[in-house]
Amino acid sequence: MILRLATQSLLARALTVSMTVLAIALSVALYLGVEKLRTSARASFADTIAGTDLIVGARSGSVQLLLYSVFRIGNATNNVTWESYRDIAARPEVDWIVPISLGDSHRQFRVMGTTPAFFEHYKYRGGRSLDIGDGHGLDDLYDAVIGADVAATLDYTVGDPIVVSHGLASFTSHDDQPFRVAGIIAKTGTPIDRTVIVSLEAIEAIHVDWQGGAKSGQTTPVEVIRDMDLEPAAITAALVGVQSRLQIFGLQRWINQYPEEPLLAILPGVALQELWQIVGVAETALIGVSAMVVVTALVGMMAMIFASLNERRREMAIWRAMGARPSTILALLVIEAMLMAAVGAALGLGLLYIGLIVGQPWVDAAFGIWLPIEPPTLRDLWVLGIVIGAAALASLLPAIRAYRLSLADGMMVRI
Amino acid sequence: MKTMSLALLASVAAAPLLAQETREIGAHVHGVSTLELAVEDGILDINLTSPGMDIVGFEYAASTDADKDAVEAAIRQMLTPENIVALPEAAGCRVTEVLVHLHGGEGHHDHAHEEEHDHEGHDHEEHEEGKDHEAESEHSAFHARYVFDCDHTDALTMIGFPFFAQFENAQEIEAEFVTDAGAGAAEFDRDTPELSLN
Repeated sequence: MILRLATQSLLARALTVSMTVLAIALSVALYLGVEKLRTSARASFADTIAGTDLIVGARSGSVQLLLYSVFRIGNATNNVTWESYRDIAARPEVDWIVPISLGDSHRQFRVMGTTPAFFEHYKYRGGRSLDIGDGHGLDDLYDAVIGADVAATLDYTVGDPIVVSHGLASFTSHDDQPFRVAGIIAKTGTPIDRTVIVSLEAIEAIHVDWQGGAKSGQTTPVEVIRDMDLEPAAITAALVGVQSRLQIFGLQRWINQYPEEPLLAILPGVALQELWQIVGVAETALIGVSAMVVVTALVGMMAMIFASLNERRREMAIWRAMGARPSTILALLVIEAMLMAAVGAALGLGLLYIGLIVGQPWVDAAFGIWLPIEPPTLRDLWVLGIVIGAAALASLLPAIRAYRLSLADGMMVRI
Repeated sequence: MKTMSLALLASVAAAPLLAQETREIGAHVHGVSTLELAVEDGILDINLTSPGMDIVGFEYAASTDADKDAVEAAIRQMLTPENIVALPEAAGCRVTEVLVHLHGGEGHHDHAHEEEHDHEGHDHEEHEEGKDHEAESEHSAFHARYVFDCDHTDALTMIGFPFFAQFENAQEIEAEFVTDAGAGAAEFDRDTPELSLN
């Protein structure tokens, strides 16, 4: 009975009510959206590397090593010498080791030198392997395997020639030794999508004629280079898989205390967590701000109910005359508020999903963050419940005022 | 002349050796212990390193009888795993190896090792003397290692640390762990002496 009354009463004031509902819906959508973005960003980052027990690089910070070796953000402070790499590879604990060499680029994309074993051992999103959907892996010295974004942005297909530039933003290119697109990796949602992968030997080969950081006059013919011993002098980092998990810390300690060269071995999961500790503050601030927006919307609703009280005094008086108790009036107002909040919350959820459907490809392309479209989590439902509960609380203040007024006014309303 | 040139040669040969000397020293924070925990195939391996300050209240080489008694008492306390870690009943863990030693403190070095079961197929972590203790600083540290055989490692969700109750100066543990769910890190202190895994 009250519910029907409340619904009809709200419908009678459709315009102001719909504005309030819209404000609540937008605030709820914002809050849930920020939450979604936050958890998805975390998941995307955490999904980028799996199955690798240790990452080894020059001694710097664990977060920095993780960022440049896996996410291609920033640069290495130092390289790792090939001797040290071989020493680590020779350790009995090491199951597999994959060197990576960064530093050159192709257009806006980084070029990474590695061994074919990379494709075997690099795992993402809970153990998935890279899938060379089109073409094949690194068979020839001048084969390049490119990520899905590289192929899409530069419109490359298998067989296209590509020229690697020296450094990250330079005008000199290794145009004497062009590569050929041998394969295109299916979309992974990781930085691999934006990477050009070549063999470690190829990185060495294109620098054969380079001395002291500049190109020397002569050009060694490709045939000669193919016959050369192209063992690198240094690599940027290495991914390591350990025989048994119980040996990870032991090997890590051995690498960190390696006397011949200052090296750093990190556990990717631990470094990620350190990264989140840094980012966590900003995340909390973001959540705080969006929570304040929800509160603002609810306060707006409270103000709307207050404002409506005066124009509804006669209505209340009539209800009283019809036999409604003052408590009925109180209940009516609280139920109205909860209805508004519930509709707002539902609408907000709807807005979120519309936003997700529209924004998903764009966010993925622009930031590499995959926003999964899933049914609302328990946490989301809790948030919605809290919003409705808070609306009931917020409406108590005007409701109590209406209750008092209806006691005092009786039938005699002087407006 | 010949001896001269030989001596010269020797000094030339020695020079690069001298240049190769590396100096480094690890960070050392009082009140903060580090913990490494790994779980695989029913084996739980815990390594705890605590600054001497937290355990016995000093970090110089124990010289007086009182100091030596304190070190000995501390090692005895740490040799009982229940004093340090509390594992969930449901996991059904049995101790297979306990190793406690003190390193640092001007090269002073106390060892205690107990092995309750023999266990095959389990690799011993090599304790290369001199490697582990290479930066013999003035700070001593207690290192405890506990290895357990567990029936249900998936029940290892929460590990308690009576350690804090045993040693009043210990304030915080920085933990790194590797389990089936992957690697992670956590920090906890004496107010909430628990490490939650996964």
